[in-house]
Amino acid sequence: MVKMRRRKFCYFCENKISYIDYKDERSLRRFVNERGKIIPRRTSGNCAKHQRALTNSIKRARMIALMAFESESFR
Amino acid sequence: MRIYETTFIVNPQTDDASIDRDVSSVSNLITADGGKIVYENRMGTRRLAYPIEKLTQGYYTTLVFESESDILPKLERHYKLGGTYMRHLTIRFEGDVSKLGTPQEFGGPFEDSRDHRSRDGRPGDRRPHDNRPGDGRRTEDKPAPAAEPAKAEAAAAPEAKSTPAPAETAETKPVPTEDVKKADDTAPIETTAPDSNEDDEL
Repeated sequence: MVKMRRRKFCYFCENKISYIDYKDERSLRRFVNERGKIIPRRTSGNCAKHQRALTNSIKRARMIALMAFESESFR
Repeated sequence: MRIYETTFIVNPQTDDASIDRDVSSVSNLITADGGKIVYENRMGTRRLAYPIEKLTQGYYTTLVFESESDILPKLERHYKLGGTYMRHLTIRFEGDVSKLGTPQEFGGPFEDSRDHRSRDGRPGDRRPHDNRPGDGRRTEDKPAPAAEPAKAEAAAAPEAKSTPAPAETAETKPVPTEDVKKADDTAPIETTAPDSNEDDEL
């Protein structure tokens, strides 16, 4: 069971990134698991604001086929 | 006048001339209506995350432009007529206009340049595993791209952050197993600053 890790910091806050581009698929991929699902905030450590923006960007990337909606895991 | 960003995908298998025609028809449509194109980014041929109309690759182009809002219905109509545009997405531009075309163009952190080659029949991505979601472990072992950020025609990614980024994100990325294992040997997270550990009184 993963408890809320208070140590974890928001990647975007840490690097003072204000705009998360949906076209930057390589970066967005870090926040998505093997199946292509978006990683929850309690695991990724993002703050609420950036998690929302990130989710939005990922969804846009999916629409424009830069990211998959779902993919096979590597098993 | 508002700033918009539109991205669209065209069939990459057609010849260069018709692709240029497709792209310029969009930009002409904008300028003809009194708009001004601020930035054009031809991302080139990339592999699609899922097949669209049976095609697995697409030629991506992004235009950032400034225009009145009445351009939007016309733009949408232009995209929908005929079968030339496989996908399109038009949004209000949310980034920083002054950062377009610079390494910080993508507000995003992270990486090395994607290095999309110009269309020459080859896929835009050099590495076959690109565009596969969740393949995060591969994103950490690239020293090379730090040397080639200038190559991309317009879409360079922040090279300045490429070195610290992998180390940090490798730690923060909680995602399963194999990814974390690989990342374990990097430097510890900075947030656990050992400030309180220094006991002078010892």
